[in-house]
Amino acid sequence: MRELFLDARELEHPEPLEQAIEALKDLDENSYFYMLHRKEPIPLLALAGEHNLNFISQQTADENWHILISRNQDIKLEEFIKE
Amino acid sequence: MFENSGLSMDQAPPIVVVLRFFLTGSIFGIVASFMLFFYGKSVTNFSSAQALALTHTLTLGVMASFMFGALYQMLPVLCGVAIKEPETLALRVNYALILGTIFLSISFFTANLILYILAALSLAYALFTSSYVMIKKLKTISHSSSSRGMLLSLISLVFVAILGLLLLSLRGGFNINIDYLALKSAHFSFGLFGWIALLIISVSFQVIEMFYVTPPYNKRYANYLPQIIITLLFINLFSAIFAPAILNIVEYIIILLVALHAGLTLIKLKQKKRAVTDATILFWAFGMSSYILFAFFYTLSQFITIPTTIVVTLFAYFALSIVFAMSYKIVPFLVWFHLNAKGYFEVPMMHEIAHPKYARVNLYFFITSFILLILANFITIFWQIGSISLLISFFMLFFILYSAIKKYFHILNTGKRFEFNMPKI
Repeated sequence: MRELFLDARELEHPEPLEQAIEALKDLDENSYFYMLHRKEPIPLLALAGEHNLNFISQQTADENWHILISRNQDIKLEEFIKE
Repeated sequence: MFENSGLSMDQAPPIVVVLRFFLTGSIFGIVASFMLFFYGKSVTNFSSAQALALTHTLTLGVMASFMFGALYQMLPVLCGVAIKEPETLALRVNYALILGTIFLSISFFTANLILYILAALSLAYALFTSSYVMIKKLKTISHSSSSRGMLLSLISLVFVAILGLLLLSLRGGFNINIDYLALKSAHFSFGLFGWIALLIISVSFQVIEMFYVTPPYNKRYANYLPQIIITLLFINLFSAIFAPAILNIVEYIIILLVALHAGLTLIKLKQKKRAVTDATILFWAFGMSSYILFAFFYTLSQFITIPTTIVVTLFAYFALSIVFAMSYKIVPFLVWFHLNAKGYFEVPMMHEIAHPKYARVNLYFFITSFILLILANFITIFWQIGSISLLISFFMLFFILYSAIKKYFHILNTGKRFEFNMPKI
């Protein structure tokens, strides 16, 4: 499984979204996008929902948000979350 | 946390909802600049029809339009609150706000009862409908410091509107047994510090850290500041009616608390991680500095004579500066994002929608107008020169909004689309 990783914690708005959208265009059936962010990116999640992508967002104890998105609906994204 | 939860772009309002409010606000900004040009020095008499008309064109026409537009956009995105049928509601509110502002401004000159009634009805519809829908939605969510502040700001707006309508009734000749000056003072405090300042504070909790990668505000501070301010505003309201002697003290504490936040925001902006400083940061910094100067000159005015217009101008530029900052940040993003979300290939980059250099020139005109209008208190001709500079500032903003809408619809009608989940070959 290929991971497209983006650490967006130190990026200024709207760079995280810009880079995330570019990464989403590169997704195939065997890959997923993993983004670390300091805020929950609701517009990105809305976009993923709009395009019927498989996605999950979760905040960990260190207050960072982990956002995982895949095109393949069968990928269990929660298994890839790095605590 | 979201997990394929049916979240979609329907959550966010159509882009036209936000841009229509912003466009309206910028047109009222142009109108206000013309008013300032023609009224000149007469606006320094705050009881004059000219000053009242200008004040309400700025607060209702400009500020309320931009703030409603921003709230329609931010509530879904920042708070996860979806407003049902936002387009229909926003359109009605937009028209009512435009008509109400025009009727009210004219009514100050004519003292015509029918105009007072029309203004009251239009504004009551615009302000109460939007506030009711937003407050109802915001009451159901688990709050961040930002969303809680927005809720309290909207509650303040309801009070501004109620107090404003009572004032209008008194002007219209209705006999209500309330002290006009106390009512006016409370209307003024809820408007400036409850609705405008509290909304700016709430927005800053979210956007300063997010937009400019600054250290976050202290959580406890961010949670309690809006609550303390609203509590003080209610104490202020009661003291206006029952204990006018302590009125100034309470109001002064509120002014100092907002100044504390302005200072803290300046420190946060200074601590941002990126070295690049764009015009929107400078608009934020200018706005916050303007507020600190407002608090300083307000304090000074308790001891020595200072033209009240200077104090008022400082507050106005605090609020307007944030309007410009947010517009230049939000509008290019919205156009870019909505086109991307709809899957268009050739989406203009954000700097192609509003070039950073253009925004900076706009900032210079804006600051120039500020300096000239402050100087106008001493050299009368500067009222006209300052208002021309302000007119250019608002016209530049209007032009960017108009061209953003034009670009958006051009691509919507002619662009080619892709699918994120198109099978890869």
